[in-house]
Amino acid sequence: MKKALVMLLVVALLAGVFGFAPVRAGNVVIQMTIGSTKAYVNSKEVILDQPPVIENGRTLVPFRFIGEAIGAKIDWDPVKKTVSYVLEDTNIILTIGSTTAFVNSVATKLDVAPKILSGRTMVPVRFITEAIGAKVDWDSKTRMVTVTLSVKEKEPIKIGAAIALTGKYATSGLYYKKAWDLAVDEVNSKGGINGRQIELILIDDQSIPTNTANAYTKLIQQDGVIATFGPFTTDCTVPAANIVEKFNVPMLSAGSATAALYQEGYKYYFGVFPPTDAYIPPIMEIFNSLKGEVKTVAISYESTDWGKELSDKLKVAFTNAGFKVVACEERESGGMDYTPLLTKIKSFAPDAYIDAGHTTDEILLARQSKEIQFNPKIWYGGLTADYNFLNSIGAKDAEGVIGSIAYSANASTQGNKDFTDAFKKRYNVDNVEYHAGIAYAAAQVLFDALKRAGNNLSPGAIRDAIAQTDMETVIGRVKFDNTGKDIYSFMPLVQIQKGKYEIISPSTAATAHIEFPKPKWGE
Amino acid sequence: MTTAVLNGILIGGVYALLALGLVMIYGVMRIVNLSHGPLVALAGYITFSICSLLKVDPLILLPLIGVLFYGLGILVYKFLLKPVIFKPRIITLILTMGLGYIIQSLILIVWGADYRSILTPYSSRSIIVAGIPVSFIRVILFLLAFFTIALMYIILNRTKMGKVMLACSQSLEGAKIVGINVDKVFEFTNGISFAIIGVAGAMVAMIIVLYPTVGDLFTLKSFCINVLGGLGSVIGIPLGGIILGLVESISSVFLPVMWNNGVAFLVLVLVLLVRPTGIFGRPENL
Repeated sequence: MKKALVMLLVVALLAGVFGFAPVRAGNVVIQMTIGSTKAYVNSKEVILDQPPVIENGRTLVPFRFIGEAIGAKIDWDPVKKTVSYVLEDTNIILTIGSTTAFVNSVATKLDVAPKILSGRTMVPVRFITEAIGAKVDWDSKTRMVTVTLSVKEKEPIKIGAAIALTGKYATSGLYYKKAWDLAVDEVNSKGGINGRQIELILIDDQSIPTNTANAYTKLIQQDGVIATFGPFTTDCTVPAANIVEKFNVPMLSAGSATAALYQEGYKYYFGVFPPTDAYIPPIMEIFNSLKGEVKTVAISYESTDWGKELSDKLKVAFTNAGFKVVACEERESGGMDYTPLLTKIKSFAPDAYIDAGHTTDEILLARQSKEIQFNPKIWYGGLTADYNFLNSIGAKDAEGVIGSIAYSANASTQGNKDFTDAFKKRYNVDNVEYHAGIAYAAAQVLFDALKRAGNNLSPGAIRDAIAQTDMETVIGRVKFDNTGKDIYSFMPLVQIQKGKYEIISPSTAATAHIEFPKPKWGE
Repeated sequence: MTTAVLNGILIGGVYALLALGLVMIYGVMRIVNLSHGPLVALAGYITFSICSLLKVDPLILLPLIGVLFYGLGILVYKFLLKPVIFKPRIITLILTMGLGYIIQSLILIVWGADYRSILTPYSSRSIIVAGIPVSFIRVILFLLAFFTIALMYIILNRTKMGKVMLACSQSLEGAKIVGINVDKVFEFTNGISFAIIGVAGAMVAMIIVLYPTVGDLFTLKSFCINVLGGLGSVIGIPLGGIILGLVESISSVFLPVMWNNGVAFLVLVLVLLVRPTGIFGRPENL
């Protein structure tokens, strides 16, 4: 019995080791009919703008259509009037109107020159297919051309990330996973990037920095990832950024809001999450508009780099704007009882209360504020723009609570509607929390960069491609300065009004006015 | 200052309840139960699920959870602890630690990583005591904790089983010599302790947010309270709990709030320096 068990284990182990072949074979079959706009790629129907034609006894087919179907990298030069395919080791260049073509820089004579019909570039099918090593068949009865290419399915592009899938930040971490899974599946179902599928490897680090460091080391050294997403929370991102920089693996971070990371001189670290500086302007806009009614502010912050940085900046901003900061208390994160803290702060009778913290703590702080009847005119909690907060507290008690967000599911940013629809459908939810939006944006940026890097996926090339990003994403425009910071990031203020998150600042993005003062808890 | 004292006493009551489930397992059986925290969390989660499903008030479920966990305690004793109970202590230590991890993973698998909260109509309601608004639920829990501790004390000193438990805690050899069925005593001790843990977890779930690793918080504080009050002493528990609560609360008034764990630890060290067995502890319990 024992022996059988051991044998079973050994077999299972071996199967695990040898069961995965990195290279698989597949076929691409393209069927076109002369004069017809209907074509088929692996039996899936595609409508062409310009049908194939016969000229001088040679069949001409749409250049772009064939190229995309076989997964080649397509280029054209409008000045030189050349078109090219790059497919693995084969490089084909054709010139419009010229019967000379180049295959891997070797000149070849064509029977008929490529031409433009209805705005589409048409190229001789037999030449193309033979140059890429495919088979072409002709059925004279149906006038159908069939191109068959055996494709060595390319190895997937591996990207990796550590994220909190368990532990006190798990709810936030799971939003990242969901957004990334969605982004990866979307890209893969359309053929991947440059013909290669994306493989995302996620490791659970519970948002504990030592785990994060181990995770990224493993992802880079053992799993061979060529690009990474950042983990959640600054405390975890700091060691992670250090590691990826050491190994020259680009990191696209959507989980750290600390400005300090951009001052380390990292070349491989890029962030789409607004840094702490971005929190300040919308907060100050609201406070300045309430100058007559709000004079004193009490701040508490979680004992992390992010908490300290944000509270420092807030303290400076408030003092400079003429407000009195009556308290600036550090607190543990993930604690059970904040009553001593809140009692102390309540004793200063501040007009406004600001806490720099994460959802779990905000939930307890809100509850315990109610218990001791601490009712400042403004109650701000860093990460309260999370449906977990709203659901745990209940809409009635949460009325008037203010927080910051970096992404809104209702924003009219590019691709946002498609993203939120897909997200809601796939995960059967009514809302898209903001970390999911930022995580998705990070994926958008990374995939765009990988596409631009083309066949050169060396670390430096990917890194440079990311650095050159200038695109519209679901969080708006993303462009990096030379420290890796997204210069267009901003962090609007939201307030829970009648169970909904309304943007109250900046005024350019606002969906509602601030409800001031905050009603007493539960009223 | 009065607010701080009042809040300190109230939270001390809750702490005491959390720590109570530990004292007899150590006192009678000399087992350090490192799965204490996760068990409390488990009780909290189970309470959460039943409340969500049946839409009942968690307070009504307390007896049910108590009985459920009593049964669990018997099972854990019979199949897990009994085989190793007289082996070196490190074995039971590792065993209970492992049990703790298993429970945490179980919680993760069954309930997922999302936060769970029990919302009742009176959650976070405020009540005025001595002119100070405090948490209504904490007052209730304080009273319940008091009641449970008093009950435990009566069981120990007035019932036969209780006195037998005390005998075992004083001298196991002596107990065996006079013919006490040590196995049955241990079974009951574990059962009743687990029942208390279950009730404590159900109560605490009403005031905190549940997540899979929340148990770690409880284990640490509970052990501190046990050591402070004296290992194996039931009276030491409410005292230890209230001292801890008061220290945390009062130190926050004068010192930065972040220091209160440090101050609590300092107090613990000082007490141990003066009385190495804890306030009510006895040398034979060590």
